Formats: sequence, structure tokens, C-alpha cells
Amino acid sequence: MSSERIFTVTEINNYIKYLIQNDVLLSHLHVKGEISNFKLHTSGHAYFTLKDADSRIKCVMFKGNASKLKFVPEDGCAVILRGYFSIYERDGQYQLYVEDMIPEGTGSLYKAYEQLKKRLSALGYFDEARKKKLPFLPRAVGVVTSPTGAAVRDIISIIKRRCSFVDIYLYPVQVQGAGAENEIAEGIRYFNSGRKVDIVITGRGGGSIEELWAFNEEVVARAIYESEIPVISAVGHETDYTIADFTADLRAATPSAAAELAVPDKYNLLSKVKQYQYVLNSSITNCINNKRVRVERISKDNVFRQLERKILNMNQTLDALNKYLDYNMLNILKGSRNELDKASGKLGLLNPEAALGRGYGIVIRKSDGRLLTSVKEMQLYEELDIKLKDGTAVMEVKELHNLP
Amino acid sequence: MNENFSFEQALKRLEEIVETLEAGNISLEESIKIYQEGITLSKQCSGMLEEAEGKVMAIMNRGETMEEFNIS
Repeated sequence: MSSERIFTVTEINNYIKYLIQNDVLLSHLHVKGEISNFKLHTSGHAYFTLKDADSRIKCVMFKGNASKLKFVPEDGCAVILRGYFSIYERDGQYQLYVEDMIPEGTGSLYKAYEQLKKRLSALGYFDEARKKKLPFLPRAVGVVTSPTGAAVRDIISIIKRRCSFVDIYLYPVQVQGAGAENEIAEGIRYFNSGRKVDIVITGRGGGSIEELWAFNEEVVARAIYESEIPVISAVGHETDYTIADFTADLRAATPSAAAELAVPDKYNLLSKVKQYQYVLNSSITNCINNKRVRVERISKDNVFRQLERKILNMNQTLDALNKYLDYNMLNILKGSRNELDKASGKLGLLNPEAALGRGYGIVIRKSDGRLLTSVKEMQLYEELDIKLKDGTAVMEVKELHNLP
Repeated sequence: MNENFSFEQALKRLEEIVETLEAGNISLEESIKIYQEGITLSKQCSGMLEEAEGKVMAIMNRGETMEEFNIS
């Protein structure tokens, strides 16, 4: 071994770079594949992976070339790349230096996604009408995600911070790799069979389209669709939309957002309730005071006093009227009495017998009892009764003389 | 905690009561009646919010067992 030359890492990387750069094929070629993990750096350079079903190649596209592209490359895009291979000595990583990129239809994963989305949409999986309303204040939350990583940590700490009394049940699953989709679906079904929780959150942190793929599988969509408990999905970042997101009752942009949507902030609610309590107390106090003031005001009210005065006045009038009535009655009675007296007086005057006392006499013919008022009615020598105050004297007519 | 107690419904009813009382156009008798109802509701609501810390459990072996889960 000592007789052989010992190379440094840099020397070897430089040598490989030399070989690659001088290879006729690798210095200029076209490669087709699907874009994955596309990242446009703030520098303007684009970094991504080109892949097919079995293999992948690291790619870089520098700003000068990337800025000339007429479309925005996305994960899942099937493309044909033109460029050359070289090696990035620092990492010993060979990569395709892309000079141009043209889209080639759409990528197979993307195609699968579009197809499933279309089919499930037709089945009504995404209908807004069948989406369940989240409970206002859940007693327990079920979480279906990886037990390691930021997502579970974010969800639990945010729920605890907002609503400490809520119970959290974690159904730990793999969120990527073979069989992840079945574990996720099983977790959702587990919570439905136990009915221990009021909301289920399922999701994971950000990743490439492949890493998020389990959430694009039909088995997960079906478990969410069939769940009787409302499901919040929280897969990847704001810009990632999976089939699970479309199917879920509510899509959260991130796991943290899911936790915030699942439970209200208990301190907000508490202060609301306290405020209501305060308003209740002040309202009832006001209410009672208002009624008291009203009662006092009414008793002092002008209208009320006027009414009182009016009643007093009316009483007085009544008294006066009564008095007047009495007086009138008396007068009427008195008047009547006078009339009566007068009438009786007149009557007394007309009574012939009343005159007898004053020296007058009544002359009555004896033979027929007629009252005589003229000498012409008399006969010589007939008998007359002369009635005086205290008796009757019988007279004989001796002479008759007419008045001259 | 009463299982049938709905925090949301209680809060909604409480809001109604507060509004009605604030408007003040009901009889004194009715006011006192709903005031008492409101106080009872608000105590139930705050009681629920002040309940003890909930638990965090991990479901193991496909739901066969359960153990406490701590986030690290």
C-alpha cells in the first residue's frame, strides 16, 4: 500500500470532475424525468431533483438560465432538461447543470393525483355540504401523526397552551414510506370506533411531494370521508394541497394552525364569560335603579299631581253642588209652601162661610133651598132662611125694594 | 361536569340574556329571573374552563394499550 500514491479527497473529486467534463456524452445531453423538491433560492438559482420510478439525479439551474424559463417548474412536472454533468467538489456530488427545461406533459405522480382528485370529487368526497362542523369546545382531541418531529410537538403544545383541560390522544403512525397511508387510515378509524375524541387532526410537517404522498392516497381519503368525527387535515406547508386536505372537514395550512382551529383560546373565553358576568350584574343593578327612579318620578310627576289636584277640585265641586242642591231643594220646598199657603188663603176668601163671621148672611129660599143673590128672585111673604155665623133665622119677606 | 352541558349553547344563551338585560325593556320580575339564569350559566362556563389539566396519551399496539406521552 505504501508504494501506491495516496490521494486527497479534493484530488479525487477534481479528477472525477475532469473525467466527467471531458466525456462526450455527459458534456452535452438531454434527460427526461419528473421534478421533485424544487427550490428556487433567493439568489435566483434553482435546485431540484429529477427522478423517475427507480432513480434520481441532483440538478442545479443557475439564475441566468432559470430566469429565462417561461413556466414555473413545480414538483411532479415531467420535463426534458438540456445541460451537462459536473461535480460539486465540496460535497463530492455530481449534478446535472441545467441550461434549458421544457415541460413534457405532466408528471406521473401529478397525474395520479389529478385522476384521484377527479374521481373522489365525482364521488362527493369534497362536497362542502357534507363537511361536519367542528365542535366549539372539544373535550378531547385525537391526533394521527408521527410521534417524532415538529408536527406532533406543535399540535400538543399549542392545544395545551390554548385549552389546557382538553385531553389529547396520539395515535402514532409513520407519515411517509411504505404502508404509511394504511397506518394513517387505521388511526382515523380507531378514533371513530372508540368515540373518545371530538375532533381528529391528521397531518405532518413539510416535505417533498413524495414525502407527503401518503396523504394523497385513496385509503386515507376514504377514512376521512367515512369518519363520523370531524377531521382537520394539516399536511405540509401553506402551499401544499393533498387529497386529504380536500376531503377533510377543515384544512389547516400547517399542524400549528390545525391546533389553533381545533380548540378555542380558553383565556379569551374566560374573559368573555367574566365580562358577561360583569354586564349581568351592572344591568340588573341598572334595571332595579331605573325602576326605582321611575316609581319616584311618577309619584312626583306633574301629571300625577295634576290628577290629584283635579280629584280634589272635583270633590270640592261635588261638595258645592251638594250644597247647592240642598239649598235649591229647600228653596223649592219653601216656594211650594208659600204657594200653598197663598192658595189656601185664596181658597179661604172664596169660602162663603168665611164671610159669615164678618157680618154677612146667606139667604136661602126655604121652599126649594136655593141660594138667593137678588131681590128679584124673591116673592112677597115667602119664607127665607138667613144663615149667619152661628145659626139660621127664618124670615118672611114683607116688602121688596129694588135698588134705585 | 354534566355530559349534556354544551358550552357553546350556554354561551349563546348567556349572550342573549346579556343583550336582553342591557336593552332593559322587560319587567323587573322577568329581569331578575333571567339574571339568575345568566349567573348560573356563567358559573357553569367558567367552571368548565377552569377544569384541571387534561392528559396526553399515546395509543399503543393498535389501540390495545395506552401510555402517557411526553413531548420532548
